[in-house]
Amino acid sequence: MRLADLQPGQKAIVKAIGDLGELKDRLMELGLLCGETVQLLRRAPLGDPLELRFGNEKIALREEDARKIDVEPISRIHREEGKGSV
Amino acid sequence: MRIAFVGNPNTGKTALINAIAGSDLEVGNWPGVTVEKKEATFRYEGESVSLVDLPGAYTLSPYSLEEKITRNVLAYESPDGIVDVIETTNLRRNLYLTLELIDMQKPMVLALNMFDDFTRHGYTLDLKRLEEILGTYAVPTVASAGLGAKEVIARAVETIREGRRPRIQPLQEHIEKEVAFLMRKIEQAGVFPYPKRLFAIKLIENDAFAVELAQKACAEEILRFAEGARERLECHMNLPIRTIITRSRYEVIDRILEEVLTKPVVDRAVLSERIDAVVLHRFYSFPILFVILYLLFRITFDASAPLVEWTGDFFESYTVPHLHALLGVHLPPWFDSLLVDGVVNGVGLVLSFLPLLFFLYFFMALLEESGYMARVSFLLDRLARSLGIKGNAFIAMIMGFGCNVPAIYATRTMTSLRERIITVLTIPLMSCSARLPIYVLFTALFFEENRAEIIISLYILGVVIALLIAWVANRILPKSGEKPFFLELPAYHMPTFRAIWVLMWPRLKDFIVRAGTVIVAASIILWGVIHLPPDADIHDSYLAKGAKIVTPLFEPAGFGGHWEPVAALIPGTLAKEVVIGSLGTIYGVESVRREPPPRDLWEDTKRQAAALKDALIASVGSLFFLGGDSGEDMPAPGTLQARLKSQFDGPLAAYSYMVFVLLYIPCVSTIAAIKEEFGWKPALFEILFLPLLAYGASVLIYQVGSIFLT
Repeated sequence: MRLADLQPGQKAIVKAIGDLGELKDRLMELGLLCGETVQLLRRAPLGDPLELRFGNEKIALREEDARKIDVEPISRIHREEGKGSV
Repeated sequence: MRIAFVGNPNTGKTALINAIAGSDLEVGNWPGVTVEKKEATFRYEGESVSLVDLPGAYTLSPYSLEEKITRNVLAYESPDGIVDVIETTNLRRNLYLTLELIDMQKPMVLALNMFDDFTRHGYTLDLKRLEEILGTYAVPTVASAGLGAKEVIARAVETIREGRRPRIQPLQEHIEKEVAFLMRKIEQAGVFPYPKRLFAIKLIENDAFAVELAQKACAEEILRFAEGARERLECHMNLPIRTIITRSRYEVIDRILEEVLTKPVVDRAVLSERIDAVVLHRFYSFPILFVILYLLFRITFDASAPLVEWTGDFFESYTVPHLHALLGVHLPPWFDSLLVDGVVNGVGLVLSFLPLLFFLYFFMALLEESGYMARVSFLLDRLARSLGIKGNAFIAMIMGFGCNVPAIYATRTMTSLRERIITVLTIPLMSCSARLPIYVLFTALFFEENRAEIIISLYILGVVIALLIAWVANRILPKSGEKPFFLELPAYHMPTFRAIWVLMWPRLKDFIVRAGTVIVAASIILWGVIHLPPDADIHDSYLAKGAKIVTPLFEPAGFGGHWEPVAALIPGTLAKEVVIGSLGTIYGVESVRREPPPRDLWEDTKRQAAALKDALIASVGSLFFLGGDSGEDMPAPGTLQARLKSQFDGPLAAYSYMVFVLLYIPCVSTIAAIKEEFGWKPALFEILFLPLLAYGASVLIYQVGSIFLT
């Protein structure tokens, strides 16, 4: 599954980070490493970018970049809940 | 002794330096980040100590221009010691840079800043153990309140005098073996201007800067060995090298934190999350953004209006006549006129803008400090993307409404030159506060019924044209060096007045100094072109002669009938503030000495003091009662107004003139800032392009408008 495919509020484990150039290094330096938990907090009102949380960090990435990050979801959020919460 | 202050962005480096060295020193900030190194020097125990304030950086492998500055200063200027300023509430991430700094093996002290937040959130830290592990002093500080600042400097000086180096934190064994071997090679090869251990690690990481350094030194063998080391490690771990090293660093960090950090049961950032749920909401976010921006400008203009008016009046009806009375007796009339009408009037002009900028910068700093500005980038990035820029470009553009000059510098936070250029092209079209008085004067004369709408239409026109230009530039400029969008959303926090002041004071001071020098120079030149050749009537002055030549050109734009308004545009290229003053001088309002001569100095002083008190009350009052009619009341029609009204052929011509004022060269300071940041080419382009754009737009509006209105 891609990071960009997560539902708002859903958490996942990072499996692999694809070719993001220097951004990849930057994300890793901030602590977005394989095996870490990442949460998709929300999409911006216009659909892009996405807000993520990992560790104490909250960062925004564009969808095209979030497509290059492979994740394994660890929590499933029911559609009804998803609508209400974010 | 030189001490570099290094740390992640927004950890409070500048505030800490201010707390150490006294806040009146040369430390300053443009939007949210220190974009160039600033130095504060003071005496400590009989020794001169320089504190170097470096831009925020996450690592020594730079991503943006600011990070590059930090890396270069550390690499090339080799300060005597380092104060690593850490946001204690975000220890894990901050320690990443700390580990890199430790690899530089320079005397170093940790300043654990925002320590009060840290404890308030329920964390505890074993300071002793941390100091033991890292081999450095770790001083808890609260820079915004000045706590711990003295100890930081004492410890730093002590560490430097003793030449104490921090303890190296070894990475994984495989990596360490390669690093040790490469370091030996580097030692054999001779001297590099970069700390050995860090250089070796960076070479293995294939860091562009380190590789370039080695190439310059023709150290082929070292490069070859680093490549070999990289391949061996990648092959062994089956991961890219940056992943290997970053992960290894985090392993070190986690091991350290395990020993020293106790986490609270409940995590922080709950409140921040709640605010974001509203502020970044699918439906509410944009209305909230517009309300905030509206309030920002509304409060700024309403609150400053009484004070702006008072300052203007203070110079016009108090300082100038009294100075004339004082100096006129002793000095030749021409010199008295140059000094008072030229210089003092110019200074008065600058100072009358101070209240406006004070409020503008205050609210901007408030938004920045609280953490909302980053949210603006987040909300607008999608829109920005279609223009080839990123969300943070809008912050620079919004700043442009205050003053174009800091907005130009604000583009330094962007990651690619291409984005910076596109953004810079849009900034001169943002109606800065200096253009507003012109709009106010003209709408008062020609659009009494709907002044606000007309002024807003000018702001919008500027923005629309700016977005068009950005769209075109995005299509024309070659794409290269693009970096993906990346933005940190810091937790909200209540800004302290001190923190806001630290952000806004350098901007205000910069305005006073820069605008001051430019406008004083402009006033002197203007005085010259109006009063020369000697004994000439204003109609025969150099300014008039020049203006009369170009005036017919403006016939199609609707204001080519009289030379006076056109003449005012010429000095207006120095600063837009000058346009009104020039109109006044040209129409002979200001140059004729005010009669009757000033009354009693004491009486006048008392009157001015009372007026200031009223203005302050009105200003504070307007903060609480929005929608007051301050700024709406018309000044009594004077000579200037009457003459102006007679020289414009109706509202359409006046509107066309305002559009020209909006679009043509913003001011020399802006052009100078563009030249400083991007070189001559873009600056020259603006000098040629903007007047053409302004001319085209004015002509179009006048011609099309004439069809509809007749």
